[in-house]
Amino acid sequence: MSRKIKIQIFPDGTIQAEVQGIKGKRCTDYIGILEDILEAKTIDSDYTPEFYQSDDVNVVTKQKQQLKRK
Amino acid sequence: MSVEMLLIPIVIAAVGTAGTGVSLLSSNKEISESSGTLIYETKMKDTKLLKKALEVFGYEPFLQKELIDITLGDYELIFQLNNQDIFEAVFQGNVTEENAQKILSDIYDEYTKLVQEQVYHKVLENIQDYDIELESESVQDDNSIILTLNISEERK
Repeated sequence: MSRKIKIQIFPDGTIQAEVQGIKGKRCTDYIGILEDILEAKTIDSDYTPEFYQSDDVNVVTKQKQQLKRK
Repeated sequence: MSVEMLLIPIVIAAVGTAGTGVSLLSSNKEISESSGTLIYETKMKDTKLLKKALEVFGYEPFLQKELIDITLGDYELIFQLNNQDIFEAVFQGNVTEENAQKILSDIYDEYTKLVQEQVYHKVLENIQDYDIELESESVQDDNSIILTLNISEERK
C-alpha cells in the first residue's frame, strides 16, 4: 500500500489529518511532522487498526507456536 | 490507515470559547452593563490575519503596539492581547450585546476563512522541507479543502 497523508482543512480553521499506509510506531513520527507542516497543534489523535499491524506480528506468531508445543 | 489527528492552527487559541469563537467575559458582565463597555474573549491570536479580516468588512483598523482600534459611529471596538496572547474585544459606547456578538462572530468567521487559506499555502510551502509531494487537491461542498500528499520512497 502506498504511503499517503490526507489533510482536510475546514473553513472554521480546524484540520483533520490521516496518515495512511504506515504500520506500527513509525506513524507517530508524522504527528510532529504534520504539526510542523500545518503550523498547528494536535488536540486529538487516534490510532487506526493499521497501527497495530507491525513487525511485532512475527513475535506473536512465535508465541503461538510455543503455546501449541505446550 | 494508521493514525488520525485533529489539529488547530497556532493562530487560533485551542482553549476557551467554542462555536462562534467569541463570548462575553462573565466576570465583567456587571461592570460592562453599567459602564457601557462590553468585553469579549475570542480565539484569535494573529494580528495580521485579524487586521485583514477587519478590512474585508471595510473597517479601517488602526494598529498600535498590542492593540487594534476601530471607531464606528457611536462606538469604538478595540482588540487587545491578553496575557495568553489571545485577543480580547472591547466595545465602548452605544452598542447592544446582541449587535456586538454578531459583529464579532462575523469577524471571527472571516478570520477562520483566512486561516484556512493560510494553512493551505503553508502546507504547499512547508512540504518542500520534507520528502513529501502534493498528489491532488479538491474543494468540497462544505468549502473544506482536501489535500492528498505522497510520502516519498526515501522517507519510508
